[in-house]
Amino acid sequence: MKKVLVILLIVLVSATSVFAVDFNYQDAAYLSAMGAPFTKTSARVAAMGGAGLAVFNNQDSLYLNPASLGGKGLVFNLPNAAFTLYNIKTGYVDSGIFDQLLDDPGKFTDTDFLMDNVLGGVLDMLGTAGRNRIATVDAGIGFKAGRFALGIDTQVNLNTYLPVGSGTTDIQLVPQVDVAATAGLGFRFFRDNAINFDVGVSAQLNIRAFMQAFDAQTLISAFTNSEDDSNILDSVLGGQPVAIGWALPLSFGINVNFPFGFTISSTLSNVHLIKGGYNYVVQENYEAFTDDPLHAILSPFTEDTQFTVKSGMMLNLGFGWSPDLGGFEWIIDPTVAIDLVDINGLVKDWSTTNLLARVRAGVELQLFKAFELRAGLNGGYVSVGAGVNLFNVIHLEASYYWNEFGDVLGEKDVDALTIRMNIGWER
Amino acid sequence: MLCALILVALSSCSLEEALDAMMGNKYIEMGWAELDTSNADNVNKAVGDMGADESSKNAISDDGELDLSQIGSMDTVNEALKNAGITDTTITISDSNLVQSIKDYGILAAQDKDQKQDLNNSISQALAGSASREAFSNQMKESATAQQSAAAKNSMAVTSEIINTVKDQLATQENETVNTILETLTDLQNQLTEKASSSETLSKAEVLQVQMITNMVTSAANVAGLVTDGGSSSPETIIESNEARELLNDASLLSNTSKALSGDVDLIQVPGLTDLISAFMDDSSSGSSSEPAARMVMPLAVTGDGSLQKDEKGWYIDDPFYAADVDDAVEERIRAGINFGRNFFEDALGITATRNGASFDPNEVRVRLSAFKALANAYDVMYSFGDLQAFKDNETLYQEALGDYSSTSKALDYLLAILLSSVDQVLMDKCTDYDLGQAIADFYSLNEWIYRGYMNDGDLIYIPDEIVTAFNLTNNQDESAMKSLVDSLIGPESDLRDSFKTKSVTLDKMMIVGNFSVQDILDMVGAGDVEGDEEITSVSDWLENALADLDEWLGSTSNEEV
Repeated sequence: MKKVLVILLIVLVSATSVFAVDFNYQDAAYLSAMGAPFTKTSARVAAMGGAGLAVFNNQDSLYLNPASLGGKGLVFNLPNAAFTLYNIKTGYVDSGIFDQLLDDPGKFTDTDFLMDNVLGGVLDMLGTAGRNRIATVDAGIGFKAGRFALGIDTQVNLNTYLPVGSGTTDIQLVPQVDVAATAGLGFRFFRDNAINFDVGVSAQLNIRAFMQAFDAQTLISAFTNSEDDSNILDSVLGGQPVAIGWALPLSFGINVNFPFGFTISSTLSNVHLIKGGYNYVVQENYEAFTDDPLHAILSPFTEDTQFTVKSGMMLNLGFGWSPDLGGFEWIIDPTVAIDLVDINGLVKDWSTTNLLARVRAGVELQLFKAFELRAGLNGGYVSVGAGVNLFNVIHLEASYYWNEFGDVLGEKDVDALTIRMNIGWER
Repeated sequence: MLCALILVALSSCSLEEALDAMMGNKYIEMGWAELDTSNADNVNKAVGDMGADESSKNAISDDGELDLSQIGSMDTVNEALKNAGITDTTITISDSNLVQSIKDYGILAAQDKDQKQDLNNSISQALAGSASREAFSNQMKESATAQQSAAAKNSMAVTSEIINTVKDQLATQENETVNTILETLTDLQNQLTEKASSSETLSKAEVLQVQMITNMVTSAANVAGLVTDGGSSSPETIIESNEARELLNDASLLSNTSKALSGDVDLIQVPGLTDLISAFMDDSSSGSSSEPAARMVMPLAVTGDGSLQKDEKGWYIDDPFYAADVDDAVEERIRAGINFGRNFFEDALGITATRNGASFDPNEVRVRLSAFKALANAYDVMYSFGDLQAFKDNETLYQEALGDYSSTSKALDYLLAILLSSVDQVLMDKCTDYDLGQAIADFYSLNEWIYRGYMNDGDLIYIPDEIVTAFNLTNNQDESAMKSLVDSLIGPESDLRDSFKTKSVTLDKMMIVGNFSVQDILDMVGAGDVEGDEEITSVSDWLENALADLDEWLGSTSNEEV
């Protein structure tokens, strides 16, 4: 089955850390990927419906709300990693693949089965119009010391895009790689008062790369015509130009902390002071990266920008409640979070639907400081999750959630399963 | 997933049920939020506003002469005809009922350039998002008003006559490209004529289709005018002209619209396709490579041992798999074909096999079939700018113009449209008042095992009476009768053969522009490499050879050039 080979090649392409996007960046499908803010995958936030601005989180505050860094803590993430697989229901459960794997776990190691059924099924499932995603892989290291935090993260997204009205063979492969270095600082004022507040700021240097998009047919033709499999990547990628860009978004946050564990937060995120977004240069092909990696990676900074993709800032509001249970938190520790994101976008285009699309709500129940159960609603889409925290050293989390991948609410829902592991120290 | 598993454990529901419960936008399900379909609503409103040009009611004489220049909204059409050198803009309607209908209801007002541009923009926006596209398809299935339907049918007849006028007066110019374009209008004309004479109230989709086809005919006349004006007549010059680009835009928009209206079927995603191909590619099949495919498959697939029997339920194939000494491979082909066909007709025409027969909406089947025909016709128009050699010689030029309509998936769309259009056309030619949708539904009703998905020993294949009668299948135990049937369907004198030849050339052109091969298409549908078979490099050449084999079997030979 050649379609299976397509998937295999997608994986190989990803392994070489090259990425694809059509340089017709005016096309909305690609524009949304090229200018989208970098978002580190958080299993906790995903399970809580995307909410968490006003919830203290040692691991994710740096990325969500730098004001929350104002609460002191010592954290080492060495490393954290997350793997997200999309289209779980259609691609793996409804297709019967999941049942087959449960019936015969040996099939997990059966390459033919995985190739023919799992990967082939995924490609079939991607043949619905619009944006979709095969998988996301996150890996990073970071630390927080006192009020300062630093994180260095990489993320690989295997995006796909199918123009409306096209067929499976037109599936565009749009892999994407981000490397981000994020630093943040937070302060708490009036710490001893019943009502106190935090302020924080973070800056992120995000380098992002894409390769010009190619479709499934290109991969199949390359495979069909290549006598030597090792040349397939060359034949597919050799002529593809690569765009590499950079951005320096800033985020500002403020928390107002009230008695009984209530917090109200606001953030102004994704503020691009330099050219308003991602600034790209184009390399002739991926060999520019293999021949002289340093020069290629630095090229967005040393060469004239060829095009800029704007990325809009967002004003967000969050409400959080982590009740003070008088010392019984070690038994049960609940958290409630409700966020309203992209308020500026809502003001521009007000409607009840647009308001609801921006509301994110979630709850978490922590038991014995070791077990976590979560649920949420993200713009009307359900999410659930669970986690195990072993002695603050090994933290395993899983979440299953639905996302909107269409241009309007309800147009195209895609589900995802995230598994995240963090090894480090948290105090 | 962990939580889903916990939910499953706690609630004793299956994983599928748990995920089903979580799926979907809860705000929309509860009615708190709405899916944004404003782009589709705009097109719906535009189609709803399409009305009759009142001046057309008085422009037709009692003897059916209709002077287009007397119709206020026909300026664009008249101008195009004049540019093409046609000064007499009077057309004649011979059907007296139609004449009276035009007097009573008029014809749809033709669109000027701005109106056409507005409509095209609205349609393009509606087709750009999957939600609005679905809403657009659903809205267009609704019936047009009686007045609108009557005016649209009259417009179809008038447009058909305009095509006649254009063809009659311009086909003598000996310009290959113009003649090819005009030939492609014939299929459109047939579609219009067929609809104009139908008794049903038209859907909004069909009203929209009339408007788009009328616009396309106007653009085609403008292209023809290029040659009349004494301009260069080479295909390369023509395709680079603004007039040709206008016609290409009209045709591509019609193809996009038709794709949406036909249900956005993706052949590769139809369940059972791989099994079907495997069954036909199986090397253990009994047919020899020299045996014509039609001879090898048709008699067995249609008649088992070559005879039909009748019981109180109807005509059935006598012991289709066993008495005829059919080997396993052929049996597998038939079963795979039936299984694929069931899924295919559900995806393509919305006909679902049920315990009691079939569930389908005749109006939806009609809209979809009409859209498939328009889709095929639109591609024919797009690829009519030059012959095969011109495409080979000017690959880059044609890639610039047609690049978005030349992928393997577009080829599959086109093949699917040809297949359904052809079957429907054959059925319409052979049967009166019996369409493809009804034929499939009757077939399902007669054969309950189709719902089950497999045949047990003793199951029979019943054929609807209308089909048996129309195709005279009761005589097919006689090989000469079978030959006669095949000859009438796709023999040297048949329209279907001509149509297939034309469309095979279009496919060849598509492969040149899209830089793909038949093997690439086979790869995508999962057929892969077929050992022992020669690679097909040209569909038109392959078809010519296949038809020659068929003619040999029929007892006649044909040396017609494709």
